[in-house]
Amino acid sequence: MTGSSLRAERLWLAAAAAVAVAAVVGRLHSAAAFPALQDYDAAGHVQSAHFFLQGLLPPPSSWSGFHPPLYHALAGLAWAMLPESVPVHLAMRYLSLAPGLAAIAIVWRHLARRFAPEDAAVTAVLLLSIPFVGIALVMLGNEGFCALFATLVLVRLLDLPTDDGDLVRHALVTGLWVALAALSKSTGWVVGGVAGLAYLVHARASLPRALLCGTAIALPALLLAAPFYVRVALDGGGSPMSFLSGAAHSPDLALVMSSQPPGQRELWHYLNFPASAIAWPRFDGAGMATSVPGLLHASAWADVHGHYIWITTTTLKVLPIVSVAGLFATVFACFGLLRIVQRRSPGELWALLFAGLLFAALLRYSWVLPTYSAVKASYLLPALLPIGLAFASALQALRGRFRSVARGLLLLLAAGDTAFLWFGWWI
Amino acid sequence: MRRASVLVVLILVISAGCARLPATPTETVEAYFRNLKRDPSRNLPLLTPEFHDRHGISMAAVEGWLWGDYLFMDPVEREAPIEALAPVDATRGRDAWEFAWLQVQVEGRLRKAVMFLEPEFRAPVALDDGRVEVQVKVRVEGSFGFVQVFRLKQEGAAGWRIDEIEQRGVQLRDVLIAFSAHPQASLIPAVKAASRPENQSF
Repeated sequence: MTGSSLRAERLWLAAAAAVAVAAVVGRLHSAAAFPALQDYDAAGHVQSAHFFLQGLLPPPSSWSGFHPPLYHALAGLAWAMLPESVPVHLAMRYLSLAPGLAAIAIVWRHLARRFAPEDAAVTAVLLLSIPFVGIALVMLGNEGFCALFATLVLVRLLDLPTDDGDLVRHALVTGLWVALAALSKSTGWVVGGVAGLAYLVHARASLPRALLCGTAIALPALLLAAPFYVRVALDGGGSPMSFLSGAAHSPDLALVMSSQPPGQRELWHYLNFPASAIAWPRFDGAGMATSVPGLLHASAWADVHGHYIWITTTTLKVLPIVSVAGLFATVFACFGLLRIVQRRSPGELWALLFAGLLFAALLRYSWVLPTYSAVKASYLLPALLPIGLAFASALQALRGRFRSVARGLLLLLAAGDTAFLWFGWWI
Repeated sequence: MRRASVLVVLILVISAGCARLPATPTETVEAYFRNLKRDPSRNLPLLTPEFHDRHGISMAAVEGWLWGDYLFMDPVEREAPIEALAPVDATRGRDAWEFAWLQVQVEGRLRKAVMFLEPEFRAPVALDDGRVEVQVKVRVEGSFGFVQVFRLKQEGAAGWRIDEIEQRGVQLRDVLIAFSAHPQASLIPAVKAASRPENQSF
């Protein structure tokens, strides 16, 4: 490496580090500044933590009672231990933020092994700053833990060992992460399925070894998490929806959900992208409730439900800018996804398969629950690694000046989104 | 790694000593008002399960706070009146009432209203049924304010918990502040009237 390229690398890393520090400080500030209980389903999550505080399991019929228990149990523990000076919602937000930041750090570490350090750093900083990631991690909820454990599973699939004994031991540890992912959120089972398939395919030459690996993946989750899911399934009458929505357990919750538009999904809702997704990226924009891509885009790059960013004359001017920038970033990431497919690295393809399944599950969920609030990009939070791989792959595919420009633009976007997500800048 | 684990355990042990329940009825009531402003979640352990049987706040009644101004529309504008939706809640357990009670405090105007509460605590009085009553004069700038009566009972390790709240002397102009001090279904019609833009004082 020449002196000038070394200097350039250091410059990129320093710039990325500066934005990363600002982003982390911004998340810590926003978690503290965001008003109490304004988070997505805050009252439900707090109530579940309160059940654990009393030494009880939340009833599946309670608002967030269908969620697996890890996050709420830890929140109950924190509630019992922390002094009154620490608000419960703040402790619960930091319990969401900490595993989320850890997940991004793990993604960065693994990207740095596969890609140029500058590309890995820029990608990781962007992951920190994408509005759907930033907002979800600032809010209390179980998404952060699921993202952490799903990421821990997926990074293990990137490089599976070839030695027989090593592979089974490797599968055992992966199985533990799968179990913790399933104990965090029901989407944890999806990463478990992908991991099981990855080991089976990898060990296909020897049936006993493949079965041993499959057992190592499934057993911890079945022992630790399955009893909870059986309880929820029994309460929900065996409906698969009972793992995904409280509406399957309670008639009044179903009633509240059913009052949201559009009330019915049609194929057309998956095929249109209204102009308001850019100009007014909120659920009440013209045609937004009937556009799944529009809602998804606005929830990824802005604040579609208006929970976090307040509407003021200033934010009205900024929202279209972040939305347009996000659209270009999405196109860039899609280019990166194509590169991953072309590269055909098995580990990366497993990560891609997981992202695809998660995306398909999101679309299916939006069909069976035809409300605008069912379309949230935050459901894709466990896919931090595949999203990171996509951006890093797209950067890697570029050469010379184009690569530098792309890095600069992504870093600029990350810095802009970091400022955009600083809670209260508009006041 | 081992040092980090020891540090985490140490922090947890020290923290465990920090959590403290209010020791007297007055401390519980003081904590209730403090929590309303800063940390509404912490009020959940201060309330008895029976408390939630009495306030009458249900999801059907508060869904307006969840999804815009639905609550503040006239019944003719709504697809169904609140009263018609209420029995849906009754099919559920006590957790539904507890959830709705917490959920209602998310509403922006209530978050503002609680900041106006200026409580003055009076000495506790023992009641015949074993409970203790604490009266609180809630001052509101520019009016007489109102009295909020707390009835508490001692429940073992849980300490003194609020079993019932009653408000006296609430005037129409203070209704949103009174509702923020004690969300209850009986005040909802007045809150609806006071929340209309032409009647809003803050």
